Amino acid sequence: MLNWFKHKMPLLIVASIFHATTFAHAYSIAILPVADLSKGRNGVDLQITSQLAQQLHSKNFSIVDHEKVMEFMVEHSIRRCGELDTLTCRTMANNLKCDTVLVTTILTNQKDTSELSFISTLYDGKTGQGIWSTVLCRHLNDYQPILGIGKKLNNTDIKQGLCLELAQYLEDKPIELPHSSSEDLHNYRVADIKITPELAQADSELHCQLKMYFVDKDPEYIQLNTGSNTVILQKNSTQHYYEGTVKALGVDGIHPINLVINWDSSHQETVTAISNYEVATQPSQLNIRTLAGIDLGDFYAFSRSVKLIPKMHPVRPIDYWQLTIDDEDGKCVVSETHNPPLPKQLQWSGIDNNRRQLDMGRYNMTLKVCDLAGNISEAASTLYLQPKETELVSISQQFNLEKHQIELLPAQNIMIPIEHWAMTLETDDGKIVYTTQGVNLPALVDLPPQLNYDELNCNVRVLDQLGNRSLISGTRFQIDQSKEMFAQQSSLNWSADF
Amino acid sequence: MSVNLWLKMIAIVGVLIHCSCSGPPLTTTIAPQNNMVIQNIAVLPFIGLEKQPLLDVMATRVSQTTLLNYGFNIINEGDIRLYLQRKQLFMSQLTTMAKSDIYEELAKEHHIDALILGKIITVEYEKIQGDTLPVIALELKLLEAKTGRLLANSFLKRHGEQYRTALRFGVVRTSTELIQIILTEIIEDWHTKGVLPWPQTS
Repeated sequence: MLNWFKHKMPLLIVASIFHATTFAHAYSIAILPVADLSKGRNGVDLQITSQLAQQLHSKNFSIVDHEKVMEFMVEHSIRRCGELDTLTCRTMANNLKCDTVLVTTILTNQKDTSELSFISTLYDGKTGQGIWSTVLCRHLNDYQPILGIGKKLNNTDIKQGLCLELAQYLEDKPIELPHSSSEDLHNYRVADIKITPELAQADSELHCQLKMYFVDKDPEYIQLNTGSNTVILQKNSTQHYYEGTVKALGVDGIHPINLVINWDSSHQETVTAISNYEVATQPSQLNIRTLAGIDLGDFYAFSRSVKLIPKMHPVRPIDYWQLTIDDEDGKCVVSETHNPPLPKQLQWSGIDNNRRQLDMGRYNMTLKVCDLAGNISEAASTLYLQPKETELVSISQQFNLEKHQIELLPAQNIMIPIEHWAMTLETDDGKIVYTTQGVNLPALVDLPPQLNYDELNCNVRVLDQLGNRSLISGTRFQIDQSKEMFAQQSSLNWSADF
Repeated sequence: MSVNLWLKMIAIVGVLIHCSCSGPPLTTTIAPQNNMVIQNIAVLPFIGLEKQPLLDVMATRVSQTTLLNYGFNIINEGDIRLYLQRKQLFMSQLTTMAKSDIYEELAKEHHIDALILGKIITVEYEKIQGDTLPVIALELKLLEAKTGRLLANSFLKRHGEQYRTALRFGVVRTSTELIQIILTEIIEDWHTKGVLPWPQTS
C-alpha cells in the first residue's frame, strides 16, 4: 500500500495541481444583485444576477449562495447594489467567507431601449478595494444580419450574451488578489459622532453619541477622551450606537476628541481628532454695520428702511438672537427673539411690533446674540427715522433794505442734509417769472426789483441726500412796494416722490 | 486586372472607409507646475441632465472603471456617500460649491491624491442611415484633493458617427461607450500633458 502510494504520489500531486489550475479558480465570488438603473436608483435585476451566477459557476468559479448574499444585505440594510463602501465589502467577504465581491450595474437607455450597458467591478474582500472592472456596451443594431448572415437578437439574448462574455473575460484574465497591508486597514468605520453641545462652558458636561461599525467582532470597550477627561462609552439599545458623558476642558478654544478602541488587553487602536468641541467662557465680539442711510456721527439717519449687517467674531454656534428697538422715551417699539441662524442681513422699515409706521425721531437698537455656551454678545446703534413723506423745507418772505427776499429753511427735525433745491415764481395763469436753485439750506433768495405782479405763486422742489424729493407748491406772495409782504401757504398741497 | 479597375476599386473603398479622426478638438486647460504623484483617485458623482436621468451614475462608474484599468486606486463610491452622510452635506456641496477644507478633510480621511469632477453637458441623438447615434459633450476636471486646486479641465464633444469605418461598422451606438471613449481620450490627454502620470505599480 505504501509502495503504491509512493508511486502514485507524484501523479496525484500533478493531477491535483492540474485540477486546481484548470478547473477551479483561485478566488471565490459573492455576487451582489445586479443594479438596474433603468428601474430607478435602487432598481435590481435578479434574473440577470442569477444568469451571471450560472455563467460564472459554469466557468468553475466558486460562487457564494445567492440567499446568503440577500440575508447579509437585509441584515446590514444595504439598499444600493451598484456601489459598495470599503467596510461593508470587507464585512461581506468576511461573513460570507469569500475572497471577492462582484458589483454589477446595467443601464438600458430610456430614450433608446435597444441600448444596453453593463459595468462590473470586482472588489477584493480583504481590502475592500476595486481590483478589476470592465464596461460592456451593446446595441440591438450591432446584431442586425447582413446579407442574410447573422441572427437578430433581442434584449434578453444580449443580456445573456453579456453574462457569458463577462464570465469568459474573468476566466481568461487571471486576477491577482492584492496582498493586504494591515497598517492601512482599519477594522472599523465611524458612521456618525455627535457631541452636544458643540460649544460649552469650561468644565461643563458634554454628551457624546457614537455610531460605529466593525468588520468582524465588536471591541471589548471604547474610550472617549476630551483632553481632560476619559470615559468608557456604553452600548446603546440601538445597534451600533455608543453613548457617554464627559467633562470639557477648562480652557477656551477648539479641542479635539479622540477615541481608543480596545480590542483586547494586547491590542488597542487610537483614532485621533475624530471630532471636536469648543470651550468659550467669553462672548464673541458682535458688530453691526448699517446701510441704506447716512452716518451722521452720533446716529444713523434713514428714511425708507435701514439695513443692518451683524458680524460675530469669532463665529460660534448660537442658541438664539434678540433684537429690541426703543424710542427716545425708552419705550420698546420692536422686540423680536429668534432661533438660529443669525441672518446675514436685517432690514427695518421704521414700523413697530404692530406694523404701524413710527414717527420721525431717534431710536435705540440693540442686538443680543446668545451662543450655545450661554455667553451673550451685544451690539447697539442709534438710528434716526425720517419718513420719506416728510416736508423738507419751510418758506418765509422778508423785506429788508427795500429788497424782497424769500427765506428757505430746513423743516423742523430734518436731519438728512439737502442735496439740491429749486424755486420758481409763477403767475396764477402759470407763467414762470423767476427761477433759481441752490445746494445749501438755509438760503436767502433776493427777488428781482422789478416784478410787475401783485401776487405770485412760489413752488419749491427739494431733493435730500437719500434721494427723497418733496415739492411745496402754491405758496402765495403779495408783491407790494409800500408794505411788508407775507407768504401765505395754500392748503396742504405738497407732494413727495414726484 | 487593369490599372483603371484597380483605381476604381481603391476609390470605392476610400468612399466606404472614411476616417474617423475628424471630430472637434479636445479643449484642455492645464494648471502650471504640476508634478504631483497620483495614486488614489476619488471620482465624485457626475452632474447629469434631467432628460437623461441616471446616465450621470453610469458616467461616474465608467470613469471609475477607466481609471482603475490604468492602475489607479479608486476610492469606493460608497465611502464618499457615507462621508457626506456623516458630515450632513449634500452631494452638490462637494461637486459644485465645495470649499477647500471639505476636500482637505475628505482627502485626509481616505488618503486621496486627486479628485475627478465630471459634468454631462449635452446628450443628443442623431439619426443616420437608420441608426440612432449618440452625441455627447463632457466636461472633466482634475483637482488636487488636499487643496481643491484645479490641475486640469477638459471639454470634449464626440459623435457616435465619427467612429464609422466602413458601411455600418465602427459606429458607436451606445451613450455609455461614447462616454467611455471621451473619458479615455481626456485621460490620455492629461497623461500626455504630464498632469496625470500613470501610477507606480508594485
